[in-house]
Amino acid sequence: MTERFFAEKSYRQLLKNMIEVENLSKTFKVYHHRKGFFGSFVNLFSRKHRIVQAVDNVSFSIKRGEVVGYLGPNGAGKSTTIKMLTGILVPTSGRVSVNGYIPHRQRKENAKHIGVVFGQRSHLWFDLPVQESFELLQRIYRIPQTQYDQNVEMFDALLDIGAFFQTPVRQLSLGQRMRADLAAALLHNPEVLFLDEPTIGLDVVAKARIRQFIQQINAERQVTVVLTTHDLDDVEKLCKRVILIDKARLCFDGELAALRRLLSTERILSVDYAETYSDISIPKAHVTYREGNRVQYRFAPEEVSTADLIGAILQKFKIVDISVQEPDIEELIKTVYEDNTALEQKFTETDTLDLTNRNT
Amino acid sequence: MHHLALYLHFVKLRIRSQMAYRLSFVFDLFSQASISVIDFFMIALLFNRFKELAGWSLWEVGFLYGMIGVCFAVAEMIGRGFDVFQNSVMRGDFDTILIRPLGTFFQVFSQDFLLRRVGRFSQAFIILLIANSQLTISWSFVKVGYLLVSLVSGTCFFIGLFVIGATSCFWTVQSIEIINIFTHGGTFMGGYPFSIYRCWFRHFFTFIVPLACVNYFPSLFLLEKVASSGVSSFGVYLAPFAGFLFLSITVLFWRWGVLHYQSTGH
Amino acid sequence: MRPLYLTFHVYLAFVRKSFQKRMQYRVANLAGLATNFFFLLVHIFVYTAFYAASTEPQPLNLNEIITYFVLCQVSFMLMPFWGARSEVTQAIKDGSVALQLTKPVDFHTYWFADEYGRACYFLFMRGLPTFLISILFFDVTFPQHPTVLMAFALSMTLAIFMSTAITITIFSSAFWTLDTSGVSGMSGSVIMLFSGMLVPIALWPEWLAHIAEWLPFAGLIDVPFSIYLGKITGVGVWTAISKQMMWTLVFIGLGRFLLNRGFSRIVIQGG
Repeated sequence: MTERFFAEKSYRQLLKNMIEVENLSKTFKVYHHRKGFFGSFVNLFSRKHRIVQAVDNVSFSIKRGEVVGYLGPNGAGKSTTIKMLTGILVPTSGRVSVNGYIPHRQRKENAKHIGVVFGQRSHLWFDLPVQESFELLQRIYRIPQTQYDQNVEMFDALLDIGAFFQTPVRQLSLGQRMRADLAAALLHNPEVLFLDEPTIGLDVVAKARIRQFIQQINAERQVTVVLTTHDLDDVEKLCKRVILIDKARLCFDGELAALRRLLSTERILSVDYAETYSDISIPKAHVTYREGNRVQYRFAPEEVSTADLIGAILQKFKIVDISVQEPDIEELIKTVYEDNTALEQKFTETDTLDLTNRNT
Repeated sequence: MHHLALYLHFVKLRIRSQMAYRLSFVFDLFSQASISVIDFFMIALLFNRFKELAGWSLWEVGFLYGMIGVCFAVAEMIGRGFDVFQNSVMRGDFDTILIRPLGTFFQVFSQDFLLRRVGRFSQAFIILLIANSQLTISWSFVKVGYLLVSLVSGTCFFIGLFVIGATSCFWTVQSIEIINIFTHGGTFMGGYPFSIYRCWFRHFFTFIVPLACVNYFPSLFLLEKVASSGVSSFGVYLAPFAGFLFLSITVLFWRWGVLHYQSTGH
Repeated sequence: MRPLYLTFHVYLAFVRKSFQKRMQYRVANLAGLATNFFFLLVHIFVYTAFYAASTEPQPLNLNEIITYFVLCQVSFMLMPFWGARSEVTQAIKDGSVALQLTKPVDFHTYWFADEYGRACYFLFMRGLPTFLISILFFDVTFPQHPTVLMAFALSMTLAIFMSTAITITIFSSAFWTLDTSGVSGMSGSVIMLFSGMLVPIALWPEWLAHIAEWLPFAGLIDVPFSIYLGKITGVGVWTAISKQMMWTLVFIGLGRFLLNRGFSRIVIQGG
């Protein structure tokens, strides 16, 4: 029995990819309700429906220990994907595997190895104190006492859950509730952590605390983290890699830096000149702003490299300070959502990014 | 064993939280009991005027009434999780159930325990006891065993009805109220001997929704009315197992329904 | 204070709003309709069997009994115990009712209008279909004379008013207790019994019928239906209707008194 357990365990650890998703699709039937008294009667027997494609042929894989941001606008299919990875929803087609398990077929096995936090809703028992919720989880997941004690001690140190350990969940503040939920999701030492909007509605301090905790858990325990969020600060602080989904389809998968490079067609160069010059024009750069000795240029990295540009300036003028700014990531992602075609064109031009299974 | 211990732990927590509002609990207990006392009081009033109902005396009907009342009260007490499943789905709580390493049926079943149904239970049980004392039933081991199996099976039947109602929530939450016809309506109609109902009505509540197997057929056997009723004695022996069969089928329906769960707000 | 006829249309708007609010639960209403018919059917089976075994003459014949229970199902949703689901009850429980004090409407009349709108909804969307379909399937008797029908209409309207007034009286308990299910359950069982909803009072033993006579609740069910069936005639009709009227006024007064007490409680507590 134990041998089999260890064999099983080492097999799982050999899996290079923690999560594999291949051509995953999910459609929902949305029913149309007839109006009027007679209509509602007809509804009982026959209902018209339309098919909504929530996730459309999405593929990606995530390695053990990675922290990945799964991003997209509202209704893009983020939560639906997470729900298929956690075994809540059954995929319409395609293949999913988490830690070697197929979530919707081996739901209970899969559940033992994953932790899930929904930002919108607590997964703890509403009317029980936090401690009793934790003890219930200990029973449900059959967590050994030593492991339970160690974890509670550690989470208390990192998240200060001791401050509200005896308080019923319904009386917790949003930040406290989120801390309790996070700790609860990690009690059974899961190998993957799914976080759906973990910082929604929290203040700056609470957000920072939660990010730090996620970072630490990832570093110390090699927990794989999949994070959906609207807060791009979360992404910048936590994720090296992002997966972008829009209108049910995957539209980017790669490093955050690559996304930034890809999307920033233009950069801004700010220069503080030592003296006032009348002609400040530089070839291949446009002046966008001028006030006193401070000037901003806009340039395209493909046309002229930053180094050449700075060289050209230094040849002609004396400067006090110079800096290159990249556009804000929030701005970037907004442009992706607004202008999907621009990104698609980019994909055809560059081969540096792994573009997985565009809808062919 | 793990499941049983877990279930008992859940029940303990539920009872404790319901006892927290002691006054309203006691009040509820009494109002529960008073409603069902009035129910039977009205039956007694009718017997006072009409003397008998299709060959059944007041306390024979009381026996019927007590049996179904006990089954329904226990089913409401322990099957509450399925009874209120509608709200649970709308709140999105079923997502949480699916991320736990336990069966969905077990989790919904252990989610709630409505202690205040003790009021209804004890009222039905007392009527059953009084009926017994008024009727001089010749009890034997077989009969006692038969009664116990029937009560458990009848409870299973009502839980099965709750499960059907709950499962229908995977498609639409609005249609669930129709199940009230069979639960509350069933308890009401089960309080009278089935021989007063029309043929199609009787057949429906025997073969499709086996309500007659909860208390009518068992009472025929226990009160030794099988011969006069024209029901086959073979059927009367099978009756106490209908509830188990019914529940098993609804569990399969439940499992199938879970696969169609669409969650909320994708 | 503005004259009554000027403010009347405001409350009429509340009635309309309450009616429309319920229009969205049509599927549930259909399920409720089916439930009505089920209970009606079982009642009819039971009484048919009772009457078959009895040779003595009864105060109501079988057709009259069937008509009585058809009418019972028509008015089932008009009974006072459904108020627990109303938004006003919820507002009292969570304290947001205090906001109502800032509005230039009389709260009791507002609540009355809301409950009355609910009653109208169920009368037209649940009661009327129940009645019409019942005519097709069962031997329902009709009043012999148009004056009987008019007296019934008057008595029925008063029954709805009284039910509304009782609802407010019962659920104003929400000011004092968070959980109204106990109060409404207890009063509900008393109302169900003494209204004659479970068994027509005509079939009761005399001593119990006597108690019912001194209580207001027969005015909800038994009085209007007895008028319909022609069991109350002549001067008796006017006595019965004035009794209904008197009790309605008593409950309106009691409801207003309790609401005032409840509100002053909120104000003192600073809630």
